[in-house]
Amino acid sequence: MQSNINNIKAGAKRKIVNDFFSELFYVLSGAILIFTCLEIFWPGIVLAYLNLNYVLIFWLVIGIIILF
Amino acid sequence: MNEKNNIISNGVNKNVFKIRIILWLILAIIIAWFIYMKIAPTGAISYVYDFSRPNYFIGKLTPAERTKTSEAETEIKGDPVYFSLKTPRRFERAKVTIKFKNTTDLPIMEIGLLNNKNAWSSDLKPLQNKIIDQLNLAWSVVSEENGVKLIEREKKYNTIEQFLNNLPNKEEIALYNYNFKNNFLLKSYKPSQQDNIINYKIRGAYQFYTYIKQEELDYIFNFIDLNLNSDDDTVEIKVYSGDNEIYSTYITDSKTDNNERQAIVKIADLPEGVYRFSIIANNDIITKNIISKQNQFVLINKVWLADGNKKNITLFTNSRLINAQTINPGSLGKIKVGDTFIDVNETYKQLSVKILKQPAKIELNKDDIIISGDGVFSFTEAGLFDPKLKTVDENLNINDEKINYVLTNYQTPIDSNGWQTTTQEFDLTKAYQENGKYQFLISIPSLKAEESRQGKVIVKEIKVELFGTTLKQKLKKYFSF
Repeated sequence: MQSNINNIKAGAKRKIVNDFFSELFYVLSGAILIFTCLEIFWPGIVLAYLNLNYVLIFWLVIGIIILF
Repeated sequence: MNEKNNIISNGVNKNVFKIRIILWLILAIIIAWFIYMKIAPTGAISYVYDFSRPNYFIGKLTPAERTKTSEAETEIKGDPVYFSLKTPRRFERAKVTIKFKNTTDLPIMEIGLLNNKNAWSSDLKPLQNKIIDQLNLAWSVVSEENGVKLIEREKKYNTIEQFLNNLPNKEEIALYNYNFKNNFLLKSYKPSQQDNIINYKIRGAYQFYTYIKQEELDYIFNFIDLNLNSDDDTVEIKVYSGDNEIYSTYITDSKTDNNERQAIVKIADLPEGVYRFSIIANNDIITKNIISKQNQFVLINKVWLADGNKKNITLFTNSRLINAQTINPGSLGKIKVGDTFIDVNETYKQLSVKILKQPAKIELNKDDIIISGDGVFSFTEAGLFDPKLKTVDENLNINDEKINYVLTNYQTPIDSNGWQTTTQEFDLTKAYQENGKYQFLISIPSLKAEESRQGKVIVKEIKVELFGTTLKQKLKKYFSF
């Protein structure tokens, strides 16, 4: 009985981690889309402070983590 | 059991919701910050470039052959060097602070903002003037709250007002970064009754002084457009009285086969005095000739005598340093300047000679040569006049030229651990902008990349503070009608 509860708790923790990465992936996808749009309308607004290449790499890494 | 599973599942869903809210909130904050930095709602924003990593707003010092960048500083090896400034929106003023070190024997270091690309003119302001710094210590100084200083060899005046009301001989005065209202008059001047033709071909932009007395300011310019490049070759003519612009006109590029254009400038009812013409044109434009009722004509600082001029041209100048340069291999050769020669033996290379006795005669056997200096140039010896007072620069010898008074608005740089810091303010509304960028220049006259010199000029940091309208002011203006 106790081991079942522990398994469920461990599963829940795993799910939270998986959900966190999934949510992060969605937010990063949104960020890339919004940043790109902002750059099209106001060139330099994002690139002046943030290198979008790093955001893309981070987004890709999170995507790979979700798959595995 | 199922109940427990449901409770855990609900808890997980709640957590997911919380994570989602937090992450999107972070993104919203980041976007809001980007927009804030773009709009700069307070009307002020500042950027610092310390050379350790690239800055999006302040460009690196260029050209590469005149600079040497190491980890966190840039050495300036030749004059001038440039840096660009990109602004997120329109601003009215820029306060530029330069942290630098100048261990060379070159006394002058200035910063400027490019105002016109064709005339390549810039509004130069001091960063450092070692001559004045030394005079500050050795001579008597009268300072005013607005920053103006009178430096006297021997204490004679107690206030600057007293000095301006009882001016000594103007030969004894030298200026630096001071707008001196000089009421210059040519006592022996008589208006000419006939047209005078200045029959010399001058290429590109140039400036000249002329003089009138109870007569109409009357000039006719005949231009030729070489059309070597496809750019728009508009010519702009501006007339100044002192530093005030009193007239301006544009001669647009007709883009037809007719390469000749004419501009007529006639201004009546002007008081007697000196007037400055500024011809702003690119190097595709040649002034074929100038026809004028006025008989006084002196070119300021620079003249490019174009290809196709008559041979053996003679110029007279009061410059203390004369430079010669050509881009035409056919124009290479020796130029006689006073008792000495400038051997122009290489194209695109500026060669200089110091003249001890003024006025000096410049004898050119060939044309298509750019002659420049720190004074004026005239085609006749009798016609040489310079309404400007002497300037405290690297060519001025305070003792030999018997300078007893220096009037200046220059502030000595702030010294901190061996680094000098100077701040200068620029008006961005009149500045030239290309691709959303302003061009600044740092000038150290006589510093040449190809010549070795003791000491170094190092720039450690460039800080730019921008000031403009606030969001509140903009909204008020927008909704006010």
